[in-house]
Amino acid sequence: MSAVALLLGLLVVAYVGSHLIGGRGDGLRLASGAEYIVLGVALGPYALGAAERSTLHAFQPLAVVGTAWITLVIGVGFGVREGRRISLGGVASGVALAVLSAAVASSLSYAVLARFSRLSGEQLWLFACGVGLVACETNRHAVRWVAARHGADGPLSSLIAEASEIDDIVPIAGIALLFPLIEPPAVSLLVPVWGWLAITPILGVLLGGTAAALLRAEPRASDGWGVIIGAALLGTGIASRLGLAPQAVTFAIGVSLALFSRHRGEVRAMLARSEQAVLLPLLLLAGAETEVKNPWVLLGLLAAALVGRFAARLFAAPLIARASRAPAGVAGPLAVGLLPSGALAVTLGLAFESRYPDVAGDAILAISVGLVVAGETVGPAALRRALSRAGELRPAHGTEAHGAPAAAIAEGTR
Amino acid sequence: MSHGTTARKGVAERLAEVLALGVVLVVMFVASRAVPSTEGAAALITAMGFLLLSGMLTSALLEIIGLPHLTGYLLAGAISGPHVLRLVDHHAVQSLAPVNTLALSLIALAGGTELRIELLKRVLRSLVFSMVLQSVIGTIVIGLAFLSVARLLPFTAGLTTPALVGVAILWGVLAICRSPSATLGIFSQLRPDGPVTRFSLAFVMSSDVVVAMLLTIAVALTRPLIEPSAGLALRDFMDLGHEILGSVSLGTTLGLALTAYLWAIGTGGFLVVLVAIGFGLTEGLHYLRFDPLLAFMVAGFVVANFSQQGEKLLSSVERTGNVVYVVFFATAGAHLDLPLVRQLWPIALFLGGVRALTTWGVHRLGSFLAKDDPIIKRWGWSSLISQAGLTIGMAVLVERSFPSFGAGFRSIAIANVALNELVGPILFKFALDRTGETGRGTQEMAFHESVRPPAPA
Repeated sequence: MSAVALLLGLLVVAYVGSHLIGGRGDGLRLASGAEYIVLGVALGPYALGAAERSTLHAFQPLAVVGTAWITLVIGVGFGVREGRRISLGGVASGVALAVLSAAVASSLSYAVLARFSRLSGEQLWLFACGVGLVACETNRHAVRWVAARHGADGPLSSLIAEASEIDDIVPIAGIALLFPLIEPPAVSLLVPVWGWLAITPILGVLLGGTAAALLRAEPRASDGWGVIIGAALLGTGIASRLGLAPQAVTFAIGVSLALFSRHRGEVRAMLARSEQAVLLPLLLLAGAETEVKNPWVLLGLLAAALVGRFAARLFAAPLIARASRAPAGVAGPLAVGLLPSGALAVTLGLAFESRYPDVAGDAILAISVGLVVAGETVGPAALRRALSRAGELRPAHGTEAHGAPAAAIAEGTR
Repeated sequence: MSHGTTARKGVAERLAEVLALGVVLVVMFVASRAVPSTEGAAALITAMGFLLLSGMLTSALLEIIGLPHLTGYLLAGAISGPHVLRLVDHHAVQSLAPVNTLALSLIALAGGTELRIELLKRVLRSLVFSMVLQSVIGTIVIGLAFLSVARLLPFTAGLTTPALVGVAILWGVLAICRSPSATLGIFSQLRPDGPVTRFSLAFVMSSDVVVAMLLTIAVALTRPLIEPSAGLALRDFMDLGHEILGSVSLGTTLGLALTAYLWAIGTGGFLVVLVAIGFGLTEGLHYLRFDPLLAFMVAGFVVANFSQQGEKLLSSVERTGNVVYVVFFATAGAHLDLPLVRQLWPIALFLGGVRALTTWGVHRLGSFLAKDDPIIKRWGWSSLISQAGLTIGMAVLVERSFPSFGAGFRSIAIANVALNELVGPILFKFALDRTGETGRGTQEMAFHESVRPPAPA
């Protein structure tokens, strides 16, 4: 397949994505977008071979920009759900669950690698931390999707929805720290490691603040787009150039925009509309780019990530259930129900793949893909069961597709 | 950042723009000095973001002294480009070629959509007189001017007198080439409407087709003069016919397809459709050796004149295009070979001056014969000075056709285009402001009005 044909294919998927957000695409997709990943794997070098690896590499700039755009969208809506700030309980639950998941998954991965591979030093840390970071988030779309599809309403639904919104900060801050720590940027300026750690948020705040200031003048719609796209591209490019994490920079741009711009509501709505159109081609690319070089070690790492993720959720689920005054029987299905990971995990997988285009990047991307597929297989049904046991599913809506799942994905913009 | 909002901008907004430009420049300067040269994704993405922001901000600040946005984009690119500050290097500028492809397709589509049959009917008389006179007298006078300085140009050394005449004819044809992109860039900012706007639109868009045909004829006719062993090649005319007919046919088909889409689905997801046809179809048209500009222009013309979907198409193209145009013109600015301009400026200035004077004089004559409105007679020429990518494309065509002197010919053409590209838009904006046509067209929605958050559940 030529680059132009692949581009057109990605644009077709983007087109489908742009229609899924308006409610017309109800029921046409899974919350995590795992079907697009599987389609990517099917079209990629491992199955049909429709897209060759060299062609896929030509799309690396698009992958970098796309992943950075996704974190920009997350940043703009960060800390807010349904137009309200996320509660302290939501923040504590989300961050604690993500940190715990990352720590357990990283530790188990480290143990697997130390036992079954020849990796050592920085490479070992890179693998272990990378696996931990792609294994720590809970897919906010999955929670929104289940809640909207089954008409869930209550303290448990609210708490897990908030937790899944806020936990994105952990892996994004993780890559902001990890990239310069593992491999400090090779530049002509003398900057200590802490300096590089500080540059990521500073760059994001600077560009986000600049964009917010420019939006004050109420420009034309196309100028507004220009300001946001320009700031995102500049931040992404400079971070890539310096060897920092572009996704962390655009996240900081998004947060700053939401903090400083008086048009934050419009910006959120605007960016939320673009999310699916960018995400679906990314998922397809991620599937196609997935490369398995050492299957046994990779399986071991995937198992470590899954076990780490599940262990953290087994520990946290009773606490979350108790905090939301749900019955004790909720904890089991809730632990499984919080397993889905999605857009952010794959985004981070692609971020690792573009930053470390060797074995490490390929392995971490493959694990993020594996986690998404595994989470989608068991998660939504278990989450529904947990919410049902908590008495938060409205019987009238039962299994009806009320509330438009696709529209629910845009819920965070309100 | 737009003309429409100029009046509302106070000191605080202007200061914010100055500060923002400072921040962007400092960030880019530090990054480019820290990592002096990169090839690959990072350089491309940085260049695109930087040119977009710096172009928008420079144009916003130049707006204070009445300069058009397009000049701001060009200056931002030229100053930050490889010949001055080197914030954007050669490699990055070359890598931005796909943006140019997209921009040109959008420009052509928008141009075709603006060309209404009623408009052509209203200005037909002026158009015919002006087009014929500009093509004939313009080519001859500017060609003669070229001939008068030809011996001063290094690449003409060793050419016989008939060969020099041939080169001068080619130069004359190149000089009557206009810039659809610059014209639409100005329209996009000023939203004008009135006699000068209508005349300029009709002339510049249709001259694209006329000049393409004239250049093919000129290449075929001058070949025996320049290369005595060569004969008149009828094959060139057949190729031209194939290109024009094919482009018109495909453009018509595309126009019908776009009409059907806009009628059935509306503008939902249309941005992706525009990007897909901008990249994919352009590739396909190049492969078939058709002219993408002509095909897209015909597509826009079909949608605008044979359906009710013209306004939808135009507003979608403009909203997408405005962002793409900034990068396109800023990249064009970065492409400007300023050392070459410095080297060839006396000759480029002379040729550019003769071209401008001839364009003005011939326009006055044409307007007199066509009994135009006084306002067209006085200001209609102002849109005909700009030259940009199309002219350079034609110079490259000449270079390919005549490799013996083509490189030098292209260099002097680029130096000349650089001057016309900088001066032309300023003149055109000045004219539209003076005639009071600025701001009379449909205004684009403000940013905060264009995006309404979904209603609460």
